[in-house]
Amino acid sequence: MRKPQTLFVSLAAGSLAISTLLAVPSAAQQVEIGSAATVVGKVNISNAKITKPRKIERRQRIAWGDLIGTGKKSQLQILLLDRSTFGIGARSSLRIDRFVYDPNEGRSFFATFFKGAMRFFSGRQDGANSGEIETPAGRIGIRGTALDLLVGKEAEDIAQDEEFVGKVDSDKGEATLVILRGPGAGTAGGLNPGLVEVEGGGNRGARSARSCRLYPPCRRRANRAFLHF
Amino acid sequence: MPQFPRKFLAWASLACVSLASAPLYAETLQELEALSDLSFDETAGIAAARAQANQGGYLEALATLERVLAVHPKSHEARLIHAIYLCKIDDRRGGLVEISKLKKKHYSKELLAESRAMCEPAKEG
Repeated sequence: MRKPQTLFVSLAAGSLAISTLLAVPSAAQQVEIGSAATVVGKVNISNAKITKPRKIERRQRIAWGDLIGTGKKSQLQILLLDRSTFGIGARSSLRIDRFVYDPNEGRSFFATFFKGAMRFFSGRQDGANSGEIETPAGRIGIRGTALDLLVGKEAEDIAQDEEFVGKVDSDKGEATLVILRGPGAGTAGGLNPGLVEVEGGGNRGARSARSCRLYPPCRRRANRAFLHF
Repeated sequence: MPQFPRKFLAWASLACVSLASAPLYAETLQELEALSDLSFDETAGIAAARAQANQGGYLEALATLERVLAVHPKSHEARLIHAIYLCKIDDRRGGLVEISKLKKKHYSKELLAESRAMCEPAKEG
């Protein structure tokens, strides 16, 4: 039985309605959505066709459903069609389940991050852009954001050093640390402030803070959320 | 190892780098690949990041710099600009942490001081 969920959210986290559920193409159809912009070390790819993980090469196209795994001291950056990027650190695992981009309308995606460390940067700012990342501990909705995400023991270790989290008893495989890097209210370049909504896996009623004023922990530590069971 | 001059900051924040052939606003897979190719050359990658930043695209500039740093992890220039751009998107804490980790022998005191100052919140009044 799961322990009651604890959710700490800080900085501006907005309600983000992610409702884009588009028709899933047939298994034979490969929907290419980006490419491997940088590859360092051992990075593997697998999918419905490539059942045995295969080493990924720089410039390799990334498609819906590709499962990316990195080894020790390895990293990858995926550059997507709207120029958003997923940076994946060592010993990490990510799958981009769905990515839809229309230059005239905007972008939406759904990805699953299983373990490790990743960084997401939004690309084109115009249009309606949204995204969701599923983690073992819950779902993160993002918009116009620079976001770091850690899943696993490292997340717990770092979170415990954070004043606003303190000592927690969590499943090391599921502990999830979300760090909203920006853009903040004082951003340059006319960027829209980043928005994040964190929703626990067992609690469909999203608990999100719309501003620091509404959620006290962020007064002490900005830009961080920690999920654990 | 040469230190970066103070005017480097002006370049980082103001210089408009002409990259006529660089597909900074790529929207096809081929253009994306050309964009990522830029990062293989440290100078071209940093110039591309500056050009993106000059257009207000700080998030894309940060991503470009991270590609440069993946290939050129010892690029002191890319590290400093990365820290400054974090501050530009209002991640001042992150930017200052990165500046504090820079090896001082590669940068002048004035440059580091100016960089830190850029990361401090604007004083009111």
